[in-house]
Amino acid sequence: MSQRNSFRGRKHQIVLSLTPCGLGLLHLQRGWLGWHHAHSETFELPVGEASLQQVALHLRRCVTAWEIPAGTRIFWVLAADILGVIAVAGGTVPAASILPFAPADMRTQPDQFATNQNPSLLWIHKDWLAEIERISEQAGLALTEIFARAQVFQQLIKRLKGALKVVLDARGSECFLHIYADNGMILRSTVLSRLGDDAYAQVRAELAALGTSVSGEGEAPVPVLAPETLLAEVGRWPGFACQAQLPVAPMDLLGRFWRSDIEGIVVRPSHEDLIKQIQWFSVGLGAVGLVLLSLMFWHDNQLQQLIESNAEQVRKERPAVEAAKALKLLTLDMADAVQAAQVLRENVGAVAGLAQVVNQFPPPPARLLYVRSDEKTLAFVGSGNDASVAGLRDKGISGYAALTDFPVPESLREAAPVIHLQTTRLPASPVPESSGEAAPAASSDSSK
Amino acid sequence: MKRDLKRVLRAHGIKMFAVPVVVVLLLAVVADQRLDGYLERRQEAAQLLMQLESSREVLALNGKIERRHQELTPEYSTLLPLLHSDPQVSLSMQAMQEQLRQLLQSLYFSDVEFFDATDTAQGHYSRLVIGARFHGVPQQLPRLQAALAQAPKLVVMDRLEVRVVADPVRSGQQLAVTARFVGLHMQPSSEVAAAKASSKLETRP
Repeated sequence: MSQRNSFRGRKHQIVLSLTPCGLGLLHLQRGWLGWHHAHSETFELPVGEASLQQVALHLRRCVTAWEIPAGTRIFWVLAADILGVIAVAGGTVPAASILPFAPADMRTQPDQFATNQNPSLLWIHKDWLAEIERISEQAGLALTEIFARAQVFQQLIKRLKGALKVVLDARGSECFLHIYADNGMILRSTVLSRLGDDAYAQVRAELAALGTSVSGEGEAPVPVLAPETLLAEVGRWPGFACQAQLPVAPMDLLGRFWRSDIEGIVVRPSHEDLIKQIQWFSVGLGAVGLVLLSLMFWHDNQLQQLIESNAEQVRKERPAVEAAKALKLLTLDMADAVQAAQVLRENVGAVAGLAQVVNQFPPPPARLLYVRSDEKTLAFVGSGNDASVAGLRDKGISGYAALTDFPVPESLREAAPVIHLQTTRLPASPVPESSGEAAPAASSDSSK
Repeated sequence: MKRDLKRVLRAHGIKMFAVPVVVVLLLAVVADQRLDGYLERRQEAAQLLMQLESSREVLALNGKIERRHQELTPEYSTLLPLLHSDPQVSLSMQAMQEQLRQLLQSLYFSDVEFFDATDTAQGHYSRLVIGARFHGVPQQLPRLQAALAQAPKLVVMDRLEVRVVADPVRSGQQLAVTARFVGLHMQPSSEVAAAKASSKLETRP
């Protein structure tokens, strides 16, 4: 059951952002297209002892309402009042040597955002850690990692230019100050009492502690990233160059930070899951590959058998097939030759046309001078008179269409022939199926 | 998540990410060693299958072809001696021209002259066409037609142009005839193929 919950819990993650007076909860859920924001909620917290009780209460309620499975991982993002940052800017003394408590009572983590020989240290007292762990466990969640609020802005300040970069982070009535080195490493993170002249003095004091004095005279201004709501006030600060933060909702900013590779104080390593996933993926890949290879071996064997049997079959059938092909070729040749000969033999139109003209040409004084005849056309020229022409046109040529004028050939023009006619051969009429009615008509024609 | 990737890379280096790649490489090596020629065999099997199908189609049609062959054989056997079958078409053309010259001269046509000899290949036979000009009298034309019908090789007159002209020798009139004759040439190789096919068919079980 716990394994099932653990598996289901891998599809959900909670990011909790805690400030002195506020709580933000973001529920992320993994779907087919990756992680997405499933729910988010913000709460105001009372100042004092009741604050942590309220955090535990709100967390439990949200876990129940959002149906978060037990064992789901939770990431805490804490303000500087709980999770501190120690940096020795430009110094050679390691930050670890100036921790406020004994190392055994604290959990620390170097700020690995930028490569640095003497990185800043994120630290949290173990009592706080135990309290946070207890609250998470009460809600059925597994505390995984703790981040400093200043880390949320490390990606955003890349665009600022300067040896030191300042971020003013406002949440409702609360305001936080974060100071970064030029490479993005956190140098200071603190809670500002309130905006105003005190805040200006506090920022200057923090910068002075880092060895940077802000006078506004002859020195490059220190870049400040501030929300729109503070622009008017911060813009008046001498020695600072104020830029507006992109208008991103706090929960979206938290989600972006959660997706980044910035590391906090690890309570439960989560990368072991990734190692297991890679191992399982490799095993799965190997298993699928072996199955595919086995299928290919089997298919290869089948192919070899098929090739042998088919080759044998082809070899057996080859003589018969070749004989059949040769016979087909020969038969086609024979059919072509027989058909061509038949066409030639039926091509008697030229001589038949000449015979028809000779037979049906009118008697003298008409005289035939020229005949041209082929399979389809017939033309003739002769001397005679108009009666000869009329007679020919009336009778026509048997088996041919009506006679029309034919242009007299050049060689015959001197003779000025009266008869110059041409016609085309009519297609052979189909033989009637029943000759019962056609026969008497034919006999009557012949009797005439 | 990105931070987990970063931590795995820091803790184990590239080797953890190389595991799936190694698995794939191992599979590729095994496939290469044990499945050499697999694709070629697939292609060969497909080709053999196509060849077998094609052979069976040929054999399935063979019954019809044999019947048609038997139907054509008597007519073709009668026709074959009537076709020119010299090794080259040009030789057949010369033979046909010589045959026509002898025929026209035997019928006493005068001034025989040939022109526009062409051959058109149509499959395994060629159509031989030759034009001829000659002089004669009307009574000779039916005799020419009859002689063509009796000629040892098939030849027909498919175009005829007759003009009445003066006969300077006999001081009368005669016919100036322009005719086009057509014959057929069959490639001798077809006959060889026929002989082969016949012999194979006879020896088939």
